Amino acid sequence: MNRTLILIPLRNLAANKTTSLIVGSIIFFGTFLVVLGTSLIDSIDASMSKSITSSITGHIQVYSDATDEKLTLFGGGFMGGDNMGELRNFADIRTELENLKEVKAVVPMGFVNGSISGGGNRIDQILEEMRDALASADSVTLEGLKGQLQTIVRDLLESRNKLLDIAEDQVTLLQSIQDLNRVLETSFWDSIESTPDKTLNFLENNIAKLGDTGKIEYLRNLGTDLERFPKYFDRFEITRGQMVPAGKRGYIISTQMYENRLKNQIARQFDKIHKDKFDFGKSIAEDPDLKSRVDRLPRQYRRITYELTPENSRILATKLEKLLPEATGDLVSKLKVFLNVNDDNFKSRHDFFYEVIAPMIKLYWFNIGDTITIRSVTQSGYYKSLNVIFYGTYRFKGLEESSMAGAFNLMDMLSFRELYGVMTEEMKSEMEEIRKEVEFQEVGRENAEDLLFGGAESESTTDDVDSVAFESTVSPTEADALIQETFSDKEINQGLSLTGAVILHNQKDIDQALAAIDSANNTKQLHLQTTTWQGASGIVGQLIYVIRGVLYFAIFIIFLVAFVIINNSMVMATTERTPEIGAMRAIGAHRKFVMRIFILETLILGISTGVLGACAAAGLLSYLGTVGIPAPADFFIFLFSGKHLYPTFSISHLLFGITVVILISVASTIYPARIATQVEPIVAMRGRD
Amino acid sequence: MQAIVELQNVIKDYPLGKVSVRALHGVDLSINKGEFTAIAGPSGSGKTTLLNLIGCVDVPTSGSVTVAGQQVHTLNDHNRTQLRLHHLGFIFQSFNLVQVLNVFQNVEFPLLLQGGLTKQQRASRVEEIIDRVGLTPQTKQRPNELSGGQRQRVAIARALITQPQIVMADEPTANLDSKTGQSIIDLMRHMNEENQTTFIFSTHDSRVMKYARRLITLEDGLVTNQSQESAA
Repeated sequence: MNRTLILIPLRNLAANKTTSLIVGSIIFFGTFLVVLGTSLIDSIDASMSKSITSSITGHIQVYSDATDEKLTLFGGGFMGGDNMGELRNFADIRTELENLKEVKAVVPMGFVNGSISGGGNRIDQILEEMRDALASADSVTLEGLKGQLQTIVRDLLESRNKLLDIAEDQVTLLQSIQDLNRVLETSFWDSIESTPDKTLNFLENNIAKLGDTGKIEYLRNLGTDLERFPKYFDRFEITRGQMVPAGKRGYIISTQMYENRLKNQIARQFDKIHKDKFDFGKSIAEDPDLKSRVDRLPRQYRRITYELTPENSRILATKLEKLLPEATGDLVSKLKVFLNVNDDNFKSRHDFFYEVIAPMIKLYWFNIGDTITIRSVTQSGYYKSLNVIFYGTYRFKGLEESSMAGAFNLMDMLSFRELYGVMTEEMKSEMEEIRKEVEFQEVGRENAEDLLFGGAESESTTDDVDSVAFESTVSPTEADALIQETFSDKEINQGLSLTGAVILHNQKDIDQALAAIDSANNTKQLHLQTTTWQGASGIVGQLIYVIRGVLYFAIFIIFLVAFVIINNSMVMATTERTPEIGAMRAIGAHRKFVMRIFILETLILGISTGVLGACAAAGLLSYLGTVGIPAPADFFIFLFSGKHLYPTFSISHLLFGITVVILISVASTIYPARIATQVEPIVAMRGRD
Repeated sequence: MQAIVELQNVIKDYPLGKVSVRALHGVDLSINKGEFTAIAGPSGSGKTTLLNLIGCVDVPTSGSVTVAGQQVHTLNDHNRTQLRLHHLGFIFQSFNLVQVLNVFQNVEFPLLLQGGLTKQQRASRVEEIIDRVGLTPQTKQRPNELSGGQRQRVAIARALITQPQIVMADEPTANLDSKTGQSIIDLMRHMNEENQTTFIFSTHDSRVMKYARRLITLEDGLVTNQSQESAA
């Protein structure tokens, strides 16, 4: 019995080669996609979880139960300064949680937004440096600074002359042109060494205001225990400079931030073009984004000329003449030609920039060892400025290219607490009084833009410096004292933290750990709430669900098509084989037998092509597991937890794929098989011809 | 002699759109074991309807049909199928062999459905019957590699392999040339004589009718003539 039962469907499959081939291909492709897709997604899930847990969140984040808001460290509202509650005494929490057997460590975390100024107005900077040069009687430097200032003044003069035709306030404009012209006269500089204050005051009062305003950058800062952080987030490594010494205040900037936001703009552009071209294989001629970046480059020549001393200007002009004999005119026109890059000359221009130009200019806003002033809005609503030493830059190994992983700069807990500005009960009640007095109104996040700015939307990281009403600044001597101050481990822990990153011995224990934390929380009254890395990473953590959803939808569509095609071809086969089925029924075959033949037919086809498809996917995955899938863009580096994703698969992926295929094949054959069982033996008695 | 097929006042109506057409108008018939009976009549006389009822693939509108001692209209589909499997053999006008099975497998098929025999037992029976219908050289061939006469021989072998009491044949020679048809009738008759298997076949070919021991003529759904031959 068994043999014929297998033989008939097998031979039927062979007899209808075209149909078998089409249905088989669909099932093959479907299984291939299921196995490949689910394996890839699981691999991405694992690598992304590694990226997130090893860079910021740890496995679990604990935070105060006094807030109703959900903690989200990437995206989401937390960084915007929503009330995320406070952990008043971190030491207690750390002690209790580190007693749990699943927990390896708890690292304190505080988040605060701050701004740093890029040195303000370039003219102001030059004047500052001039004062220093005068004080130390350094006439060579002074001469260089004079040249830089004159370059800027010439530019300002040119733009003001252009304004003459259109400006309404001709009086002011003519006055400024007159002032600028005066700076270019040699006689103006005659008395700089004899009566420096007179010259410098004129420059400060009449010229500096004409220059562009300085830049500021808004930074996301993570205050943490700088000794424990590198220990438990083991992908952390210092790329420049050194770690903040134990017990010292200090600032560590993410390499990402340092390279992408705090670097000379032309250098940044060269870096980005280089990366797009050589890491992602884009071409200037073909990629529109890259093309527009390249098109903007020549217009940014001032980022070089403003930084050059007259001496360096001459050297650069000579070197450019050698490199670009065809470029004529002054340094500006030569630079414009130099900055006009294309696919062919980019490499050599890039190298020239870094070899010749970079050493002549200030490549970064700050250098290692500089003291940086970070300014933040405290909880009480006041501005707070704090000086910290910039010790170095860091990255998370494998995630160096990902801007997601370098979203935070690190500072010590004590600096964080100052910038955060802990509010005492007294301050809170005072604030309440003020609110009442000024008829304070709560503005929701949804309509805040409309209410405050009339719907206009602008998002910019570099803004002009505004004057500030309330500001608490420490005097230089005080700042110096703070920088020199040392503190103990006890001070780090016994105080405010916003969240605690819980690192587990084993990520698999996350559910037990959550339960253990909850129970400790209840018995010890820790006033905590918890969220997993996935929850804490906000929209980024949820992304995997979206990708999974898209994949499952694609699989659903493929199998829907497979279902329809298998169903249709089997219905056709049933119609074609009606006399044969009738004859079998007349001879004595039961309905069940007919049903089995049809189901077996698709089952044999489904299992064989499904297994083939699963094996093909396994083969491809093994191959990809060795060579890796290159990340096509920054964001993928974060998803892939490195420049390449090395996917893995397990037997369960294969079994899942094959099971799905079997279910689909059987389900799609039930209807045609039922039609076949309804064929009456009587049809066999009618002649076919 | 004992009647193996017994029809009493059998009426069969077929629905045809909104009206119903009466194919059999009250047939009384009795066929004994071992008979070699032809049912003749013009097209539309009710030959095939009568054969379907005797072959248990259809049930009468009224009256009773008894086959191998069982009242057909009292049986459900499952039991009718069992009755066909164990007591009846079928030879169809258009052969209706399973195209994807070879000669051996087609002949073996009813035995597999019946179950109960070992592989060796089945093989020896199949080989023997293939030999008797003269198709031993074609054992491994598929139906589409055979001539019409050869296919019908396979069908005969398949009908006889379960050693049924009755073999039903619906116009078994209609799709064959006269010479081949002749040899098929000869073979059927030979089998009838050798095993005492009851053969009931419908035909409208007068040359074939000659070979029947008993001829039942139908006209407009009624038996108009029954003739019994002493010998052929």
